[in-house]
Amino acid sequence: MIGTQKSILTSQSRARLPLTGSQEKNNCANSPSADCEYKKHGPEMGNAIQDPAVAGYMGAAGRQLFYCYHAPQGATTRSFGFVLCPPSGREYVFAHRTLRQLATRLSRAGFPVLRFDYFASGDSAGADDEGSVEQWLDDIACAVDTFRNHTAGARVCLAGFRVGASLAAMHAAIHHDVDSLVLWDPVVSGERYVDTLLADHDRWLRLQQWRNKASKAADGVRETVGFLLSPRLERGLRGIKLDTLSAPARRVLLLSSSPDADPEHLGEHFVKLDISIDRQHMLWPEFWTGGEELDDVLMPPARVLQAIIGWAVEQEVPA
Amino acid sequence: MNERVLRFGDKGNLIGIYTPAATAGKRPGIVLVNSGVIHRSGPNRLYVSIARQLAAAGYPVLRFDLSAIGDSSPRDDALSFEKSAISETSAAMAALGAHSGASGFILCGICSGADISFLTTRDNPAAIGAVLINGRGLHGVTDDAGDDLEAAAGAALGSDASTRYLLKSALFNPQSWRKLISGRVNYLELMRLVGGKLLRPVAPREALPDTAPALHAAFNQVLDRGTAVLMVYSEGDLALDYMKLMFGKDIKKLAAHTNFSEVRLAGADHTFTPRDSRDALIAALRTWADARFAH
Repeated sequence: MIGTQKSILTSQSRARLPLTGSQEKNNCANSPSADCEYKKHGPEMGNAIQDPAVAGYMGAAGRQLFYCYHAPQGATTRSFGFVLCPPSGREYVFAHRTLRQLATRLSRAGFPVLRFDYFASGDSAGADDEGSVEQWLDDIACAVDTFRNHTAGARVCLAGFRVGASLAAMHAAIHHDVDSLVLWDPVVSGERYVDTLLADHDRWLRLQQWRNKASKAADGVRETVGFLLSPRLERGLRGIKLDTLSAPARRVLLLSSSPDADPEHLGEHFVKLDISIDRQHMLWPEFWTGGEELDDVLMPPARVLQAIIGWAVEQEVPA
Repeated sequence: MNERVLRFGDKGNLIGIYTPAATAGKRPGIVLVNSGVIHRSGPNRLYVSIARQLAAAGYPVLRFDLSAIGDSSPRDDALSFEKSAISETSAAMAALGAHSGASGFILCGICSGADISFLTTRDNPAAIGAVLINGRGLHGVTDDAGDDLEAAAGAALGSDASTRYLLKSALFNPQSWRKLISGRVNYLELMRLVGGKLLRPVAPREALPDTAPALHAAFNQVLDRGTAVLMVYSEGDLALDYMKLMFGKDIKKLAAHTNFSEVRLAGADHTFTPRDSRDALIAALRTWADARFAH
């Protein structure tokens, strides 16, 4: 049962569930002071559209994660909601606006949604070189707990984009605590993904030939066009192999916006696992890359977002 | 980490992250202004690093999203981008002051963030310092910003339609944010792109652009009232050409003002993509701020 908008928006009236083991570990549920400070604004202060989202921090001290909870809007009450798992590095910079749009549109369709930043990314705690796959999987667990805390235990669909989709599937396969998955252009092979990141950086460096080159870092941390890849993170990312994953959830939406409908045969793998899978091919320029031909692709991919929302609404019918 | 999310502005539509100073003191607050449409963590997460390191050095910091950027909601009025950005940056100073107790502020931003920082500094004396990093539209952030530089660069390059298009749309159109995020905004790369012509610096012209006198007056007003200005230029960035174009011979007079400082960072690109360049930028900010305000 999802709480009403009012009960969600105020920390005092928010429904609280007993802490699970995972919640105690992550200290995710007991951070009421973390929500952003709402101020009363007088009626004379117009000229802005009010945003019902709650922003704050979750997680253990020293490892706090920024999150934004979008309460469901309108009269329709849904039986489940979404935790959005973002991509990392430069892809997240490109995707931030899109993920916010997705959250807003889903909440307008009546779904509660939680967005968050992984440790060592965005507004979350952690220096740029401190991220790791293990930590980010813990962060997803923390986000799921926080989502449940905000919604009085609503069922969870993890929706991930690029490496966020990979992490979402890995979380689901480990914990078996999510109802369904939306995997949008997931990174299937971590080896290929890291090689691409490094190749992109090499390409960028070649364009900078005239500049004084920085010396290589002594700590083994590599650069990927403005972001950092520690040996630990590189190991974790290279270890991603979604096509060997056990069944992560009962229902999966696998979305491809690349020219190939199932570029790395993940869909075929899921079919073999007897998962209820919906494959959608929504061709759209790969806006998360720095491709020069994409200069005119400024808007979030509306068709892809609509496909996710349409799929979500259909899931209200028992599978 | 003791950062907090603040909501402020009309109906609380603006969102920012407040990083309290690690030590008590009377240092000014620092407000970081969006670079293009990149949200408040900044290009390459640079604003997060600036906020945390400067807060550790005693400066309370607020990095926030202008309306319709990042997590801030759009406005529902018809105010121009320039006017709303100035108003919202002033609101950010007020919010930071309310939470930190600071009464004076340093406005800081990269690219369009520099432009908005300067325009707000011009209009709001609560800004006692401005750090303008690779700013190229200090005279105004209207849709026409960049026309003068485009014309001058067009003259240097030859009047090539694709050059004009690239300079206009890729560099100065605030919607062409992808170039900015990609770190691909720089003059030499554009030169290479349009045919590998040799770089000829945009020379100071005898006839200054129409918008130059107002910019001179604004700088004089800001510097003469005691506000400290730090100009930061990445190696090869058009921002320096912009200043030469706008000030002509008077650029030496500007540089000699006691409240004016300038740093040129070798190895840095427009958005500080190399790790070392981000570290160098933060060190330069800290050195300047401590010299001007830590007393």
